[in-house]
Amino acid sequence: MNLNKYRRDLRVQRKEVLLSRILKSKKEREPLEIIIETENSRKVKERVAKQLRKLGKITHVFKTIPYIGIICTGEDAEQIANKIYRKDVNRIFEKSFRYSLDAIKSVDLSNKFSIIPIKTNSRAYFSPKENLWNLENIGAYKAHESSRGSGAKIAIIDTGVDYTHPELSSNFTRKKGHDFIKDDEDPMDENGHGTHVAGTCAGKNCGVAPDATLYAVRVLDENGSGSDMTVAAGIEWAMLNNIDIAGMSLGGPTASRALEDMCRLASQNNILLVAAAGNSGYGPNYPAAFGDYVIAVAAVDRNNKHADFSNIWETNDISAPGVGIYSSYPGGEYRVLDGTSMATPHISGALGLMISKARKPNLAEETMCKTAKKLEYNGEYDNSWVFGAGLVRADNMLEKAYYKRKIGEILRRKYNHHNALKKMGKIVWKIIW
Amino acid sequence: MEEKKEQDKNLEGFIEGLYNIRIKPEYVGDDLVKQQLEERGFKIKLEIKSICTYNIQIDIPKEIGESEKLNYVKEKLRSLDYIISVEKSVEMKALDNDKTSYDGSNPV
Repeated sequence: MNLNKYRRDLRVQRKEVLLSRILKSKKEREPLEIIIETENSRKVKERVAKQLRKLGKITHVFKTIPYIGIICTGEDAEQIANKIYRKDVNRIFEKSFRYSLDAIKSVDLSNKFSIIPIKTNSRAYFSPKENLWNLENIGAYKAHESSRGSGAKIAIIDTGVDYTHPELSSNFTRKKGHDFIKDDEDPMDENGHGTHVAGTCAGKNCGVAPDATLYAVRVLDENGSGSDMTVAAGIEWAMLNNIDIAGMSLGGPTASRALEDMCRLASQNNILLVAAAGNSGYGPNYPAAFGDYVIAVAAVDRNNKHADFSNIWETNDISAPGVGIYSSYPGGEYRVLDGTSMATPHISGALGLMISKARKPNLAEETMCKTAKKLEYNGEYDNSWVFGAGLVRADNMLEKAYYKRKIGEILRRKYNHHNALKKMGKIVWKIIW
Repeated sequence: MEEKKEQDKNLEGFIEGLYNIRIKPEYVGDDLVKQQLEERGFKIKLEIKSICTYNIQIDIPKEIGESEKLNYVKEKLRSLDYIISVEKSVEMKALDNDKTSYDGSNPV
């Protein structure tokens, strides 16, 4: 799907709907509610709102976004629309209002909202839990009793993310991330892949770590393609912005020394790098195959069998569901996709659940591998080349971390008690002596 | 023939005209570097300061064979003594499978 074309067509469609509603409103002499977008400045917005009050009833002036809702006559709405779309104003407004009109960027119809009944075979709805077998299989629901990933900062280094998607909007702060394709601060997804990955990692309903904070780092273009250096730039951004975990559902068949250097440096700076093992069935895929610095993720299906596309290679570290994964897609939609791309965010999310509880990256990775479920394989390759340590189990990870922490607390209390007794003994001895 | 096949195989996954150059740390961010690269026909696409690496682009003449392109670039950069290494830039791709699957269950 060409998202840019889709958005352009949608804008044209909405303009036509607006103009026809304006005509209808003029004919039937009924007021019309419109939304006006102003320049992104509080003073400008207030100035425009002040002028608009003379035209009609202001329904809302937004505090954080440059929009104003107003109910006005069809004629007034037409004049404003003419200014935006036809650059002319037939009616003579007073001078101060004409000045304010210049600050208006767009005008749109205010829509009525109502509940939408679920349709069969529609992609634009959220499906019940039965479609999220992948979260069940890795023990995510049970893990959520202990942790939902709050406080963990996860970067999705990918095609960008549709951060306006209802599944994901609560995961993003004001700082959305970075776009290294266009070199700006708006990492909007123009492909769909990154949004799907983000949903599995931290989506409200589809995600392993639904309360984690996400950052979108766009390093792949609308065709899902980029270079080792855009990926390295993305990893550097994550490092400079104190990200805990960076998920990379991407790769290439050839190693790059520069990318390896970046992965090593980021790993030394305590970022957990997670990458997809590859979809060619066998062989290295980079950066996953860099070994020590990157956690390589293989894919399994619903029955915990090896997904035949998932690369078998000596550097595989862990496995996660990667066949038939239901998750978010741009435009408020949901899709089912396959790939080691889809397996990777399960690991990013699971690590996020751990990091949320204990900020120790080495401990999180070690615990993940030690608590993984061993899987069966009867083929010619070593089991670890196929599955790594096995299927990630988020519930086991958190349980082990919980007991380790409890034992640590008990030992510390005991040690402190012992130290206190020693001090008391010394004081008594001094007094006696 | 096998040697040629090996060369072709090594050339897979690279991006045409895009190279990574590693430079001495003291020269990172120096305008002189940018100026000298541009004089030689290179365009800087990315600068990764923490690993002292630039991603640069150049249009290579068509008469230069595939296996000679890296040497051509190295030759162009030979006089710049702050350059430590040159390598080809690798293509990275999103790793979803081409086929979208459904597991057969009714989504509702």
